Amino acid sequence: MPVLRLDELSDGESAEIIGYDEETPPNLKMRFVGMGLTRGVVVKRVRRSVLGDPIEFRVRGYCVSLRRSEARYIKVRKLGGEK
Amino acid sequence: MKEIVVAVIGNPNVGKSTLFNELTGAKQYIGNWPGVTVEKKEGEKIFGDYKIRFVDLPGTYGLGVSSIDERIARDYIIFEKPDVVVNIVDASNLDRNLYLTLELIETGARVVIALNMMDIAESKGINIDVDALSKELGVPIVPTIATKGVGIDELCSVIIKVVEGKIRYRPPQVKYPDTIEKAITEISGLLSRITKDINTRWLAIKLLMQDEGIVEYIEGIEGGGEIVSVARNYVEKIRSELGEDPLFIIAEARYGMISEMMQKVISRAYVKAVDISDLLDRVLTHRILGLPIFFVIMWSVFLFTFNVAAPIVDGIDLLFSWIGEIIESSDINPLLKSFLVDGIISGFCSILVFVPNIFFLFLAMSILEDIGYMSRAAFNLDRIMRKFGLHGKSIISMILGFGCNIPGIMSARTIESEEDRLTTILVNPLIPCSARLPVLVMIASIFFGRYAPLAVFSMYVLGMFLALFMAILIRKIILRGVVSPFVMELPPYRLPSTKTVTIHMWNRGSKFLKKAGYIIFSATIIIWALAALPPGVEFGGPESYAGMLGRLIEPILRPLGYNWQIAVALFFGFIAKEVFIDVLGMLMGEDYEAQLGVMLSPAQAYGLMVFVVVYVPCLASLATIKSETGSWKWTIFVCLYELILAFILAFAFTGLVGLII
Repeated sequence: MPVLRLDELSDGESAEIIGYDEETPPNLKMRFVGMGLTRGVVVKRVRRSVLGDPIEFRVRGYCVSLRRSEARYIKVRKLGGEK
Repeated sequence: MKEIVVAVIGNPNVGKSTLFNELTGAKQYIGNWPGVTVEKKEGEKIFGDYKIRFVDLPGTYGLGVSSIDERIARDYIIFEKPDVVVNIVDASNLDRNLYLTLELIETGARVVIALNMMDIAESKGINIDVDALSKELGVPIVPTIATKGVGIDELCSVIIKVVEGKIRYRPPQVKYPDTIEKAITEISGLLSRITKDINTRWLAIKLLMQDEGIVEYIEGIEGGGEIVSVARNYVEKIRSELGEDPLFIIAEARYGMISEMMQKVISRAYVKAVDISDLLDRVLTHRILGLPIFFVIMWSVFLFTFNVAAPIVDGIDLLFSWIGEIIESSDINPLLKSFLVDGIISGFCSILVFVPNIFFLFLAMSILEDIGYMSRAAFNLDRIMRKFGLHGKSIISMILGFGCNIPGIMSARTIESEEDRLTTILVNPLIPCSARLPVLVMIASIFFGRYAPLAVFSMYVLGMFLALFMAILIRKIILRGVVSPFVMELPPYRLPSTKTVTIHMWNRGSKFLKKAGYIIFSATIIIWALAALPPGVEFGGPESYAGMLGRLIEPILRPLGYNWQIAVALFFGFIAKEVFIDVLGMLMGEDYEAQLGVMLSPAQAYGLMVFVVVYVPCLASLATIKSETGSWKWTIFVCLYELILAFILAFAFTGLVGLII
């Protein structure tokens, strides 16, 4: 399965987190970790906001919003998701 | 009776305030945390032989720190060492919630879990084996449904048992990879020589996670600097051996342990097909409908505040004029009569009339917050806010500012980057708060008749627009810095209990009443005295002290068309914006509205509304800005830019409206 960045998913698609970009700012890393966006976890894109950014994702049974620029730091492996 | 201290901590949106309200009832004290003006909510409960003092900590996802809120929660647990820590865990969202729990257990705190929202978990088809989970975590667990008051007494009795040492703690240790365990053992060994109060294993883990606050704390202790550098070497070593930051490996180990536990204690009976929150979000964050709905909601809040409160306002107004007439016709000391009629009735009571409006506004805010709409507003508007150098959460600060700028300013503390937070604070006073509302309504209803609500609403639009405009100026010129991340939970919508909303409204509204009680009442007495003295002058006449003050300021305001009475009113409006009406009532007498109507042209009146919205924050807001920014420089900055802006805009709008009508 192709390796993508989290912001490249479409609504309804799921992916597994495989790591962070090396350039990820430390404070953002802390935030990701605290919100449970760690390796191995499955993330599903729910929808974009009214203006296209931020994006809402479902992870560990709850919903979290990330800006596109932030989601870009997260490397994912796309899973066969429902449309 | 023994007194014990219990901290209440949990992720945001787990029903913490509801549970706190159930635990303490209305007996709550709102104070400030030392050093910062973050609200510190405490409450008491007498239970058996104990007086339990509950301290409500700000919601947090873990004990790492990225905002002021999170620092307060962490520092309280670590340094204040409450007798017991009640960790509220959302049963319908165990996975992420338990991360904080594991961290709390690692600090060595005596944790009691309140497993809340059991009903929601059940409705989602999640079955939790509470005993098994308690065994896995090695801490007592009490299932609760805060919205229905279920489990409150059980929670208290478990707390007492813990204090009396009747419950044995067998906390599990998260197993970290060997390289990390070795580092933890060595660092915590070194730490035990310099600190005894804090769990050294937890500190060692925090050093390996390079937690800035903890690194600073250890460096501050004698001999700590060396330990920090030992930890740093380990971080490098782990990075090269395991190919990742210890931060992730530690976090992953914790989540790994949580996943294992979950498999043992959770069984899913079924998966619910329809998610009401999701359905609502489809509409409320819809590409086309989302923004219009946001504006409709704001407009409805506005109408609700006016229309629902209107009959009550009229009733109070009638009551006061009736009392005024009785006093007027009575046969008492003329000085006392003047104080009661000119000071209290015309002045002070003209403000009390608006209390229902203010309470209804706070009610509407509390409902929006407790339902979960505020985070959607942030989600929907982040992109616009960012264009103006603000953060999505700034919109929450602004909406709250419509109620009162103080909670608005304080709510900025959940914004992580200092630049974003400061900008949000500095522009908040431009949002017309509920104290300015009566002034605006008073002026608008004299001059704009049928169009009064529209005139008032235009002030809200103006305030909002100015806030955005100033934000981008500040961000471009003074505060050019990093942007905070927008990693934010979107909690499921919830129907808040009447009790939660009522207490929420009351906590805010009663603050307003207190302010009216102390500040405005004292101001009334002072202004009445200024208007009545020196002895023998006509009350509120140009020869009185108030008159002299007014004539002193008048020349500055004359270009805008305001006379000395308005000048005095604006001057004292600095204490609290409502006092504006208070002063006019005293200086011009009860028919001040009619007099104003003759004195000003509609264009000048509109300019005056603009002036009232923009010029200087009230005293209480200034105090909040001072303590939230910790700097006089910013406090003075706000006053200056607002004053200048007020003059320019009042002048411009007077001219502009004059051209139109």
